[in-house]
Amino acid sequence: MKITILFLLAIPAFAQTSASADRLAQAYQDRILTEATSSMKTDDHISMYETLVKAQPEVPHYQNLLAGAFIQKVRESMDYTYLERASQIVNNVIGQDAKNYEAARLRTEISLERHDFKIAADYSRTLTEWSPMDPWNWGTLGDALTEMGDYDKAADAYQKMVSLRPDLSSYNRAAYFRFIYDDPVNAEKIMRMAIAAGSPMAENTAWCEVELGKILLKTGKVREAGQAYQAALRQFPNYHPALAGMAHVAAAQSDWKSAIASMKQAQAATPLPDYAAALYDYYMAAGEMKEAEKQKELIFVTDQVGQAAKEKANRNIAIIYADHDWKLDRALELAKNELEVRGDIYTYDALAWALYKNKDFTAAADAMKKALQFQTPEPSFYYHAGLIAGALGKKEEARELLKKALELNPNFDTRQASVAGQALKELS
Amino acid sequence: MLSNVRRTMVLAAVACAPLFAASHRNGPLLLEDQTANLNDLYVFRSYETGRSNYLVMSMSVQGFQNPDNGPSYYKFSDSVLYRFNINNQRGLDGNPDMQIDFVFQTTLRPNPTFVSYFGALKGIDDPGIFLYQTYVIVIRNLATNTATYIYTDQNGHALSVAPPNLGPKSTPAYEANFGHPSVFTLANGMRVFAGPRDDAFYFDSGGTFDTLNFRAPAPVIPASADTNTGGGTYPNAVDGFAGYNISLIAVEVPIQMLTSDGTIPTNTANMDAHIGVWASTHRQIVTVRPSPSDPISYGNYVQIDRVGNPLTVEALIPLPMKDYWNRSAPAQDQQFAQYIGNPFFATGILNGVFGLSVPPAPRNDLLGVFVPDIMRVDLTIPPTAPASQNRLGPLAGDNAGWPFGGRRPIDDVVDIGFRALAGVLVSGYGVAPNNQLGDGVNSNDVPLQNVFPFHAAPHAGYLHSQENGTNGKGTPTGQ
Repeated sequence: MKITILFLLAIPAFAQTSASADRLAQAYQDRILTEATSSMKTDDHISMYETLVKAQPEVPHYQNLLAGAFIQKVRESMDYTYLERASQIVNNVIGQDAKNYEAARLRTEISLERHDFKIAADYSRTLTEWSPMDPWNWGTLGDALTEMGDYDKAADAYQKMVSLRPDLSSYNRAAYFRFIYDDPVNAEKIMRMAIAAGSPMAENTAWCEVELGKILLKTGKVREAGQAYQAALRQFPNYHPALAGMAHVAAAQSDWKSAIASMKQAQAATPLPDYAAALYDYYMAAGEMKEAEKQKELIFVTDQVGQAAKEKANRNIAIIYADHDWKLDRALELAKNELEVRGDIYTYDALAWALYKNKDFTAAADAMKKALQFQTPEPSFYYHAGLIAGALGKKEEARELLKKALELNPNFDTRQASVAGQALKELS
Repeated sequence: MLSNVRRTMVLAAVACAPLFAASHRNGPLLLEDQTANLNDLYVFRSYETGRSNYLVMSMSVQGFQNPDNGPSYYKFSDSVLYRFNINNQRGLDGNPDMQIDFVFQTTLRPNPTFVSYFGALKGIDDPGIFLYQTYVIVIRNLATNTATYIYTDQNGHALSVAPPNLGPKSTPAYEANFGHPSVFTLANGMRVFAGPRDDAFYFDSGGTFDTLNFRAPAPVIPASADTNTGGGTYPNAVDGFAGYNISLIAVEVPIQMLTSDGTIPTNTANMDAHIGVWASTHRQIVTVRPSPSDPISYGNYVQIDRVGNPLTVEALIPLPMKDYWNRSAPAQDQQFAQYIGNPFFATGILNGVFGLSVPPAPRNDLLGVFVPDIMRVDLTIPPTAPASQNRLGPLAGDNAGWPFGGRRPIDDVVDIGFRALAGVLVSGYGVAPNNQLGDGVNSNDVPLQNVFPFHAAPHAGYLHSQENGTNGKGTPTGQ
């Protein structure tokens, strides 16, 4: 085994004082560790690294491995208490060694999870100077710049990443950019390359399957999207975004019973407001008003909890409110504040939609122009843009935009697709 | 209703730590790249009866496979180009003269189940192999700049990957029904195999990881152990790789196809009698911004990993340079000579810790093997019959083993490497304890095969368990 052999040779370093020998021996031990644990579940990783940290608390690398496993757990569970635990460990390591590279990389990832995008971009830039050949840092730089809406520089960073090392992590970002830049055909191809490249973490591959499903669903390939979500569930059972995807696929075929069942499973795994909003729509469509009301209540409570915690920005809830004509002033507040944190096309779309619902059509059109700067094939973007154009009296433009939304996917949303259809009818 | 609200309140409070309630796109970042990581490279003249004029090359990927890791098991990556590079001229300068590429394609057959394989499979063409992989071989001659694409065997059968060994119910008589039938003879005389196998690498990794808790008498093995060529594992030693599978890509090539003059060499003094081989993995670059070119047809390939000799990257290349080394070409290996010619653990560990007397730098004995880092094969050395092979290869007079005759599955590269680094190939250093170093594991957990592809059948998922599996006990579970 190529990776392992040195062990015999390097391990004696533990017995002596040479720092470089220690470092090398440690590194190899950890390479083997990673290989040997590659098929483990994240919880098993965590408990194993916890044992290692306990046994050798003086080894920062084990602390970093544990922090990395905690971050992975956040990805899988959306339980942000793990992020705090990761953050404590990383701060501790950096506190003792400001130049600990591995911890510094994790710190960037943590700041991304916290939506501290500017800080994440700064950290990443520093790390690209420390180690310009490490694709990871170009990846986190691209991630931060994307959220901030600096797509051009983000594309440069991602290009460096993929040219240094084509793999699941760089391919999935390239695929995403192809979609943003209105190239869904190649977005699909490249996302399939990401899936084929794979990862020792099952969730990582499942994540890419879900992203593929989203691309397919947005462009109307409903059956193939269902296959992608199913593949994700095979990879990583009970994966909530894949369950939600299955629900969207069922809803696109008006199969409310299956849609509700899948979305309830997703909600049970991770109760995101988006899932409650989807369930509200499904229950309404199925004529189950009482159940629908419960989901509406849940969304309001979620927002109340957010408000109590002084949450000012949340474009997801902004969209939900605007979609349903609930609390439109709050929708606008949440969307406007989101723009202070990030400036990507999705934030501009949420703002445009909230502005439209608040009848500020001119400002809505300005925001929508930014959202559609790359003609991203998001059916809801075109739908929003169509209604905004219509409100400004631009009938021809409105027709084209609404047509485009429905061409991409005639069932792009349980409620909004029929509104789009109705509006198009009225314009014709 | 109130209780409902309270319940949902709790739910919401738990789920939506408010700062993070709005999503962002958090694409995964990889710590390890499992599908493109190469484990071992084996290159040797065939010792199968009647095949001594063929050279066998095999590479193993995706180490530490749990035989029972269903339902999808392990597969080759469709996004990786797996390559054997052959250098047969210019005194072996590390530039390829010929390349044999393997490109895999996965077909998902109609599947009513949640598993990738189902039912009592009757053979390699059974439709119950839902996850069906095939491969294309591309032989590139870099001197003439020609490429030959091979899609089927000589009978027109697709080049298919052997399915995993699930167990006696699904894959009965594995080797007869699935292993050997997955060896394909090509129209050009080559034979190929791709699929799961037992990991032929053996090493007491567990004892070593436990902070050098070597199981006595390791790490200094008395000379009596060296005469034992198989099954000679010390009773206390444990093969940490026992019971695990790897994915193997193997090719058997007529020697005259590999030499620059198209002959089977007989004179070792002739430069053309020697070739060098290394394996590499590659993936395609795609452009992030849309371009008129199809990303799959037009992307340039970049090297992700490479392997020549065992030991190199781990033992000789400093860690911060590892990624750079993996991306670079053997022809540029002179830049690493400063590290390879003066390995710190020879002086720092063997000498510093164990007090062994080791040769002074520069270690020309190591530079000759590792710069450039290609597996050298003297094609005039005849293969040693299986019964006469010695795990210590040239160190025990069996020149057909590593590092002179390439590397065979039987070669104990840990012990050979340890001793070579202690300088036993340098005059005056082939003395005890330098020539007695070892980990105590002297053979593979299950018997190797004496026919292509030589690695033992993969351990069966059903038979693999802590109680009944091999796990160092030497019980074959691959049938």
